[in-house]
Amino acid sequence: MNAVANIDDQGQPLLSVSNLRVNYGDYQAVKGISFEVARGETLALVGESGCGKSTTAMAIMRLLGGRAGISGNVDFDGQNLSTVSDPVIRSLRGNEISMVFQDPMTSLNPVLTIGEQIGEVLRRHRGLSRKDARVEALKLLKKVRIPNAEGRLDDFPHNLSGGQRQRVMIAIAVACNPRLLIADEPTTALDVTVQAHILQLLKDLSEEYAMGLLLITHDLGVVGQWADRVAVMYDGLIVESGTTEAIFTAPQHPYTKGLLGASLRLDTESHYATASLPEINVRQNNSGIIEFDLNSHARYFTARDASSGTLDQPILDVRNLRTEYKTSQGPVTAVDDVSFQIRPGETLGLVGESGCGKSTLSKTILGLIKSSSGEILLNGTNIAGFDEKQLRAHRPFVQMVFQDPYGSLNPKHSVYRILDGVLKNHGVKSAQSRSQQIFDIIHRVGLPQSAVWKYPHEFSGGQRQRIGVARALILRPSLVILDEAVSSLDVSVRAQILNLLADLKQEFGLSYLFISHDLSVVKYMADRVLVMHDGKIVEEGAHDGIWKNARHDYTRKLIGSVPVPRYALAEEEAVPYSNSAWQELPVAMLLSRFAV
Amino acid sequence: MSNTPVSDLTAPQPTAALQRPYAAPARLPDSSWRQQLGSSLLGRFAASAKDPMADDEDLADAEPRSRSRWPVLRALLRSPGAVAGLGVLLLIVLVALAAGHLYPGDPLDMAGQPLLTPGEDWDFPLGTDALGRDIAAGLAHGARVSLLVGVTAALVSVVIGTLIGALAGYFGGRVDRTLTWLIELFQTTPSFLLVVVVVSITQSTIGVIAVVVGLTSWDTVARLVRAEFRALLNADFVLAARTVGYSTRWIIFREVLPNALPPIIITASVIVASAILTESSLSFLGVGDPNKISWGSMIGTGRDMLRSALYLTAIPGAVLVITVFSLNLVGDALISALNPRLRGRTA
Repeated sequence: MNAVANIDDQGQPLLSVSNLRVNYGDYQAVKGISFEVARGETLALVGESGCGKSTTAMAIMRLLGGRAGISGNVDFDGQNLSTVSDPVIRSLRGNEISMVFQDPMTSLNPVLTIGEQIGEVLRRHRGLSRKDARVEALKLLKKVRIPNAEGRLDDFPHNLSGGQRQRVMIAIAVACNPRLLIADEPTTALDVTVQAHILQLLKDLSEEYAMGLLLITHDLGVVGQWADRVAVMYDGLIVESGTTEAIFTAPQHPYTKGLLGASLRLDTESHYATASLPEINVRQNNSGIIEFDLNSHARYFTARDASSGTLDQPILDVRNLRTEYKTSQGPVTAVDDVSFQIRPGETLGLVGESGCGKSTLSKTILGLIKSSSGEILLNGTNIAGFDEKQLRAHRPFVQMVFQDPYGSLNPKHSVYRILDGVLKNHGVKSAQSRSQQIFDIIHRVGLPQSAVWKYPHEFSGGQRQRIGVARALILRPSLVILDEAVSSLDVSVRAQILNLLADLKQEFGLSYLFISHDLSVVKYMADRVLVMHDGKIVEEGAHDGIWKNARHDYTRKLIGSVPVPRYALAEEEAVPYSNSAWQELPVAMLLSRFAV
Repeated sequence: MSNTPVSDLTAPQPTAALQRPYAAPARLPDSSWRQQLGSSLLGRFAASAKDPMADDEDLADAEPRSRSRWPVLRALLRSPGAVAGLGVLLLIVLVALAAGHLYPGDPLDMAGQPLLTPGEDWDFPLGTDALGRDIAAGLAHGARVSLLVGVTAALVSVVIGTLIGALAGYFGGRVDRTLTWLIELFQTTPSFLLVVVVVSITQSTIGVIAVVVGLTSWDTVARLVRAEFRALLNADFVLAARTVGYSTRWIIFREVLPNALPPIIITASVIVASAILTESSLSFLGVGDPNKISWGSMIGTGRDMLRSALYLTAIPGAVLVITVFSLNLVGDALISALNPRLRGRTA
């Protein structure tokens, strides 16, 4: 591979980190890690939130605040970054080493034009005049392939889409031909179709300038497709590193195996009805040693296919639904003539990119937004146009699990009060009966009973999502809308929640409307799939067929953009399954630190 | 290449990280002591034979009482600032209530030689004013008036302001525009002038003054509450409350309002202070209740002799400052105590 040859040519790597430690008081964020990045090479630092990967990047750049204690060596092309003076490191930042951050919406200054922001870097680091900087900025914009670059120079950030803003950020980052580019989750906030372009761009630039690329990400699909080498981080340590091929085809460490197993891929046939996702089981034995093992099992659900259930009356029958928003430029149609049905026990997947109207659709079904026309038949009753009072009687049948496990629970209420309020509002008068139902549902979503007395901030992201699921299920609905319900969770936590949802579906006989931008998750969870684009349903198909025989151009483009690792995972035999919530408890507790 | 060997992981790890997750069993004292007690009294068999669900029922009864009884008050009493503030306020309230016993008779009557400085005559420990009125008696009786005005005005303005702000913020649209217009009307009118006018037209009794001051200072509360509501309405938990089918009243008062409380509390303590001051300004202008002594009227009458007898203004002024400061301390601590996250931190 290119990268390996480079090390041999040059003798020494571009960036060499040895025994890096970062601690905040007693808490060790990074516990002595070592890795190297060669010229022109892409090293992916993979791990879940809280594992210390971003802290590592910030420590390399010496951007951590004064509270952080850093030790170890960071050698950049012969200079020891941990000992050089502040002026020296400042001259290196943005010049020799630059960084691209996750959120392109906030990393650009909203009151300066694009041209000024790129020009500023050029003038400061390369000493160009205002006029030259403008010319150079234009070249850079063309290099990062922004359409109509001339016109964009005088635009403000709000005129650009998320992907274009990230391109501008990359243009700023590569303005001074850096030798090392650190990209911290560069595409996490972007749509799949945009993600592919941004990663391709980074790869091309890295090859063109022989620039080392340190790619920090949680997404194994991205890693598998783009990285030369991979270092897997867990709890401040690199548990395994090697070439991408080695990591993907023959992972050694159980944590790596778990991550690979838990991350869903579009090119495998895994489906909820036949197998659960492997869950990483982390525990500490008596002598304080952390042990990992994997837990997955076969499922024997009868998955519904599109043809089998046509005789049942659908739970939800949406007919020619249209939802419009009033804006200053006139009405915008967010949901445009959408029709579909969900039958009892079915999981209908709905995929689409941000802004395609999928969230508006779910809110319209729930009556949170008024529809402009069309029918929403819930168990045969048309609830479109119902007001809050009329909807109340129908609320228990359809519930929703929200995306953000942090925002969707009232921070001022204990879990008990959150769940109790739901039951009270739906006429459960007896306090004892309410208490019984609350403890029952908390048990079923795999949380300890003591959880009900805690407040939302005392839980990890995965646990909060369990509470969100409990709130949705406590009224025993027949349809649950999962709007990006697992999108903000880490891979291993996501696997747990997906397993939980699949188990609960069987247990309660639920139907799901599973909305996500992530095709691989939808592929795993759905029986039938709808593809939404610009407010319209452009394609509908069975979960196993649609990926291979997509008819619509947009579907094909969407599928083509999903990062698929270049290497297939070696087949893993399923571990015998034991499902007792009591055994799952310690797993949930220990895994809770995956999520910040 | 750095390939951290897998064996590294089997080395003893610091346990700090593993203790961090919330659900570490050590955090559940109830269940653990229960189990320990159970097993020591009834033997291992009894503890293990217990059905897990039965144990939960048990917990259901025991936990709320042990864990969630008066959590706000407890958190409040853990904060030294709040304890000091509450102590001072309690003292002032007690003095105000006992004023009739401590200093029987009208505090406006001449009691002794005029212009005794504090300490000069121990019958009048805080001295007397130009008309020979006992300052200590004035402070005690004045506390009644000042506290009444402050608390009533704050209550009136918080209730009206919260209601109007919540309605404007929650419903938006035309309701919002109308109510915002009303708020702006009050904001642009000089409120003190309004108070003077209303008090001059009606009777200048303490009750009227208190209510009128409240009626002219709700606009600040309303603006704050409206802004908080507008921000919180987009939070997912409010959407979740709507999907669950909560009534509008429930969402406003149970879901959103508790999250909008901090600015309301801070403003309330400021309104108490400014109402006391407004009342003193009224007394100073002579439109206050002439039959009642208040801290404000004491400051107002002492003002004429600011250079010769500073204590006449300094003493009631200091009491006023201490009261307002205590209110602020309690208000601050109350905000932390009402926030479950901060409440846990002081635990």
